Amino acid sequence: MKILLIGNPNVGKSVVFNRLTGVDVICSNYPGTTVEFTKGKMRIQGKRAEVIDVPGTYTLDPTSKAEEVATKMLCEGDIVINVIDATNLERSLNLTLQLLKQKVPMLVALNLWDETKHTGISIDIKKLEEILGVPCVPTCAISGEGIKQLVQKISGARISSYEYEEGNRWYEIGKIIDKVEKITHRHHTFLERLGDASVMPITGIPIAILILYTVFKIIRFIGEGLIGYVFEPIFEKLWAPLILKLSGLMDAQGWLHNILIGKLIDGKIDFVESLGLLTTGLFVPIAMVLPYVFAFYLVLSFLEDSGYLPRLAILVDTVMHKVGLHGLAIIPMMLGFGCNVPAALSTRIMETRRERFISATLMAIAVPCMAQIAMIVGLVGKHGAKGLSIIFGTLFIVWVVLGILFNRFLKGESPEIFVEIPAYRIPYFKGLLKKVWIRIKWFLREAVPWVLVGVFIVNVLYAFRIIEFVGQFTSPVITKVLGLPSEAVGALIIGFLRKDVAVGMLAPLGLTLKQLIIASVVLTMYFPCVATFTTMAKELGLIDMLKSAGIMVISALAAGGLLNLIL
Amino acid sequence: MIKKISLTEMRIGETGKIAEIQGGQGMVLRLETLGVRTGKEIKKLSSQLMRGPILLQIGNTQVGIGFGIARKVLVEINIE
Repeated sequence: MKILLIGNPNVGKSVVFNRLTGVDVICSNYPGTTVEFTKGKMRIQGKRAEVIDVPGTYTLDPTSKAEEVATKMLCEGDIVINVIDATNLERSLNLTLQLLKQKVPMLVALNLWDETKHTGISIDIKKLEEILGVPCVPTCAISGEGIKQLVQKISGARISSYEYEEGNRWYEIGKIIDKVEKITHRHHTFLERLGDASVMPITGIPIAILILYTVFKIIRFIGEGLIGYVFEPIFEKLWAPLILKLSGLMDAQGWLHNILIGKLIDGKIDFVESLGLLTTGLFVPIAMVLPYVFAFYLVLSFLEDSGYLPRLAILVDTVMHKVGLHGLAIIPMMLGFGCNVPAALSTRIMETRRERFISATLMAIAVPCMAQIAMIVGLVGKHGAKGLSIIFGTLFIVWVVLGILFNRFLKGESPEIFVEIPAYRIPYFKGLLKKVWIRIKWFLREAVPWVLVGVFIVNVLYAFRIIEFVGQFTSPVITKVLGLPSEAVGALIIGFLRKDVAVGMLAPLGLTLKQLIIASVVLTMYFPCVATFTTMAKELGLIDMLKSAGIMVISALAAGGLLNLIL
Repeated sequence: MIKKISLTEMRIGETGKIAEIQGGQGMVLRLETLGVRTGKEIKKLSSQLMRGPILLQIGNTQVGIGFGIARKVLVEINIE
């Protein structure tokens, strides 16, 4: 048996899904968090059932790719749980009535029920059930209230006999609402006032700057703190002596020693430069990258759950139009700073192919992921803030210039933003931590193995002198255009696998600050890592992906070459 | 006196009733999904500089609408 969760965006379908199946999915407070369907299993009265979390849709006539996915899924379900926003009955019922016509057994979960109380709404569930002819259950998925009742009523799902003229749908909805809903007057809450202030240009722009500045400060504080006080001491004081002993047992030589521990530098382990699986292979992902990834996701998750992101989208809309996008494209850009893979997926919230191409390409070229940022900060930050500001400033300029070029030369227009602005919510602490944990788990599972593979391959490349060999015939470009030593080509090869390892490979080369800056910019831009590449190819299609990749290579050479001339 | 103006011409804080949407069927349907349709009472909450999007309150929902679309939504307002 297949159960579909269908409803408007941002009504909490993913939270309900998580409650029903125990499968961890990312839930946020903005429309379009779920862009692909997720499957999970549950038991109803001893029988197994498959539950599918369908991306949100406002209507069964899709207007974006995420909505298209939703409509296609519909014919596969045996039972539909229509999750609706109890504080937004009218809009929700629009989809509900369309679903009723599909003649699938259905029930309705009135989610966000707790919010109806302090928004002065009261809904007569009995009457609604009577009118619609399907079971209706009030739920508050985030705290788990009502979920048990929902599960009990799944077997009671019915095909409704409700009939109406298609052209009269809104009239019908109005009639239903008159019968079941009562609204009492209430005062504006503090959160609502804050909500208004954060979208007024006069107060909104300073608030946005303040928020982004705070975000930056918090990430640095947590990231640096964890590295300096937790992870580095653990590695230096506990792990290093152990590894040195192991090295002594192996007489500090042999191929196994090289692969596991790597080169000893002045008889000591250098966790960045040694390049062994047990040294660099563990140190880079855990002690250099993870603290920043954790810090970033903690802050991002807070922003997501608060409901601020759609407001930021409104504020930056005008700027985004200059690069052929609209305000919502801020979401893939923000997600990209965490990891480019989910960011590439999230471009589905954009309506047209052109926008998806522009947003995915700009994101992949100019937005470095947290793993790479952490490594750049670790490597270049030693020389002071100037190098870092040149790197990130250059990437920002690239983003703007390329975006303007795309907007001018790519056919088509950028549609206007049209988005629901959800109410501000104080993030539910447990939910927030869970989300951070899902993302950290994902990082540990997806990233750490690849870092190890990367470090292993680096050793193979050095052992077989492949880097030297490739370096010889790429040196015209690498040395002449970019001003880097020919060994830097090794980083470009590994960058396809993992960009953090690639940045780490620059460490032993003894580069000057100027070379570090150029190498960091080129490594960010020249090509996406393999995980991003496959995701983008799936999203854009292979031909557009190749176009996008061509743009990346050319613009990376141009930006690197220019920096080499200017600096 | 009742006057018909576009969303972009409304003042911030002003309320009115949507009278007409000057767009094709596709646009009308799209706007409908978030409750922007003729007959609805709305309040303009804010607008951004340089022809940026406009924020509306419709019932219990807030909706952000790009300038280009907002220009095509006509609203009846009451002026004393």
